This record gives sequence, structure tokens and C-alpha cells, in this order.
Amino acid sequence: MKVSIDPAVCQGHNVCTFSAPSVFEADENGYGHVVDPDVAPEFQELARVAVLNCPEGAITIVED
Amino acid sequence: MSTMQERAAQAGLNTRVVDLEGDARLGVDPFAVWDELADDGPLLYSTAGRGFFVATDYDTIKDVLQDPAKWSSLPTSLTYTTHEVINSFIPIAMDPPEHGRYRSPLIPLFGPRAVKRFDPHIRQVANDLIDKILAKGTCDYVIDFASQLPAQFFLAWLGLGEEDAHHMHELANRATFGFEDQSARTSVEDDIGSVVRRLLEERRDAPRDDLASELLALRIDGEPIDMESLVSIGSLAFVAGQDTTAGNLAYTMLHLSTHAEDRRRIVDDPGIIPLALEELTRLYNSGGPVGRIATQDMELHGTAIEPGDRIFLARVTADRSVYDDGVKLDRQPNRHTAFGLGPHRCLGVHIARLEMQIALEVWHQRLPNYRVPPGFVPEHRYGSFMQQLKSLPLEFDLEFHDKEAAS
Repeated sequence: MKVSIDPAVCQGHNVCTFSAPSVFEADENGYGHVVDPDVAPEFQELARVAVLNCPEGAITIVED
Repeated sequence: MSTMQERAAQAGLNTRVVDLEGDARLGVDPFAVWDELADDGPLLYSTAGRGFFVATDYDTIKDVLQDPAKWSSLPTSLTYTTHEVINSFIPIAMDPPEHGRYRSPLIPLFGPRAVKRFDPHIRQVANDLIDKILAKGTCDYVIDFASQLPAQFFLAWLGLGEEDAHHMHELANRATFGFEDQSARTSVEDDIGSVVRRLLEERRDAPRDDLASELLALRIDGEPIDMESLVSIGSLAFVAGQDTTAGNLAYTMLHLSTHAEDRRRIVDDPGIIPLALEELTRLYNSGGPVGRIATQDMELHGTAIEPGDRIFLARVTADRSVYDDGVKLDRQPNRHTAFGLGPHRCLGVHIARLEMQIALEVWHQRLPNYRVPPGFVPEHRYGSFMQQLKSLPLEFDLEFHDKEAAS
């Protein structure tokens, strides 16, 4: 699974970092940042929740 | 050219009177009024005020708020009012790219890492308020806690900690309801502006460790921000920093004090508080962006839109209908628009979440057993784009449960 955030759509709600803290981190302004675009199997379910949680729809997942 | 109402009829939209200023049902059960709007599909037309479209689902609201080139905040985002009322606060009353020039320098001041340092201060304010409630022996949560916590914390941060918090909160509250006409609006903005201007002028000569001094130090393209704009930015912070958090906390506690199982769940597992807050904020959303004005010819749900058309964003309706399985405190995922979407999303979201989280943690540690008195009927203030709980009397058992008092 590969995950990415569209920086043009992200508004820094910071919700992804609560949903999947091992996958996303916030920069100092709260904008989402992907820790490692290749998501380890144990975090993939959390990453899917983060996609559905993002209020702006800024996160994209490509499943293997 | 044809009227909005004619085009709504051509597209087969339902027409209603969405009268936020005058529908007395909003004072009795505002959430039932919002829920009713979902019956008409994602878009309807309201004949109230000067006439406006109403978007009622998540995707439509998201599309509008994420596209300020098509849907402007100018000349005003207050689309539902009978009289045209301009809210001049910066950067609400701006579109990109100008909006971004003013907003960008503000973002670091309100970022999640920046606000984390306020945790001990907020916790202290929460504990002090509960001490006072215990000393008094009775509690109206709206008056004694919900309106006081954000006011006391935020005013201190802003630099107005020595002012009377009750008076300052009343002033902020006037601003969230003062949209009757332009003279009412201008009057309340002037009153707040004079408090903020005095503060900024004092800090200009003698900076302190507060938000007013930080605002004065901001630069846009290397230049300081002019005093008029700073007063406007500071005035928005003054209003938004107090009243929306207060309103949201009050509804959260109305729910918990009337749903014993959900209250018990928070007491037994405080780790659930962040998720519970998202759920209760989604359900009892009480603030945020209100409307936009079309800038160009386009189509929305088969309806022809023309420049100047007004749309109101019924975010409460949309958020409450995203899921249809009732209240689930641990809901995941939980998508909502309570803090807005797009470039104007609530700048203070991270501080608001922190305040509400601490408020619930401290309250449930110290006063876990509480309830509304028998026969309590909530009343809501209405007349603006949001509602507010007027009063929330709480009864509590303190002799067995106040850990602070017992230790």
C-alpha cells in the first residue's frame, strides 16, 4: 500500500495524525506529512480509516 | 437572467422557508429543524430573507468551500439575512490570494505544536472553575463553566487577562448574534475593535508574552501589518476564541448529562474523550462558515447558478446525516465539517480541541456523577447561523466523588 497527501487540498485539520499516528505526522503548522509512503501491513487498516476521516478528502491510497 | 427562485423551480428543487432569524422552533429544538432540511435532497431553495440556495449534504458543502474562485466570501458570507450585512473581520472577509497573504503568517501561532504549551494553563482554569462551583454548591454549566473556560484562558493569551471575563464574553457573544442589520453589526464590531485597539496600542510600545504582541510582530511580504488590519484580525480572534468553544462545550455536556450511558463511558474510559468530542461536535455543531456568493455561471445539482447567487451551507444538517446509526462515542472514521473546510477552515481548531478535551477530562475526574434536574427543558438562543444553549443546570453528587476535595 502506498499513501500520499495532496498538499493543495490539505488544510491542516490534523485529523490524519490522530487516526493513524504511525503513518502521518503533522508539521509545525498542522499540515499532514506522510512518515513513510510505503505503509507497513500492520498500519494499513489505520491508513484506510484516515482516508475516510480526512474532512478535505486530501489523502490517497494505492493498494498493492 | 432569471431569479434564483425561477431557476430553482426549473431544476425541480424543493422550496422552503429556512428562516434562521425568525423560526421560533429553533429556540425549542434547533437540531430537529436542521434534520428536516435533509428530506429535500442536497440542494433546496429558501424564500426567507433575500432568497438563497441551501446546501444540505457533505459533498456539496465540501465542493463549495473548497472552491473559493467559484464561491466567494465577498461581499459577505452572511447569505441568509433579511438585510445585507457585511462582516468585515480579516481574514474571514477575504478570498484567495489576498486571504492567504493574511492567513499564512497566523497559522504557526495556532498550530497543534504551538498550542500544546497551554495545556497546564487550561487545566488550571478548569480546576479553578470547578472549585468555585463546589464552593457554591450549584452549577449552571453554561454560565459557570462553558462560557468561562474559553473566555478566561483565551483572554489571558490574547493579552486581556486583566479585563472582566464576563463582560468580554458578553461582547464576544453579541458578535455571534449581531447580524440583524449593518448598523447593529458595525456597532458590535466597533465595540470589540476599541478593546482590541487599546490592547494592541499598549503592546506596540511595551510587548509582552501574549498573542497581541505576536500579532504585532507578524510580517506580510516583510512589512508589518497596518493597525486597522491588526484590529480586525484581533477582533476575530476575540470572538472566535471565546464563543464557539463555549457553545460546543455546552451541547457536549447537555448530551452527556441526559445520556447516562454515554456519561458513564467517559468516566470509565477517559481515553475515549478525543473520539467522543468528534462525535458530539459532529452532532451538535454550533458555529463555522455560513454561506458563499457565486462568482460565475455554473451548474449545481442540475440548477443553473448565476453570479451573485447566494448559498447557505447547512453544515449541521450535513454533519448529522453523514451516518445514520445514532450516537457512537467511539465512531471511527468520523468525517464532519464542524470546523469548516477549504482555505477558511477554523484557524483555532487545535486550541478548541485542546480546551474541550481538558474540559471533559477535568470535569469527569472531579464531578463524574451529574445530571440535569428532573423536568429540565433546554432552551436555545437562535436568530443567527448558529444556536446556543441558554442554560444547563446540573445536579451533582460530590461527597463521594470529588477526588481533589477528598485528598
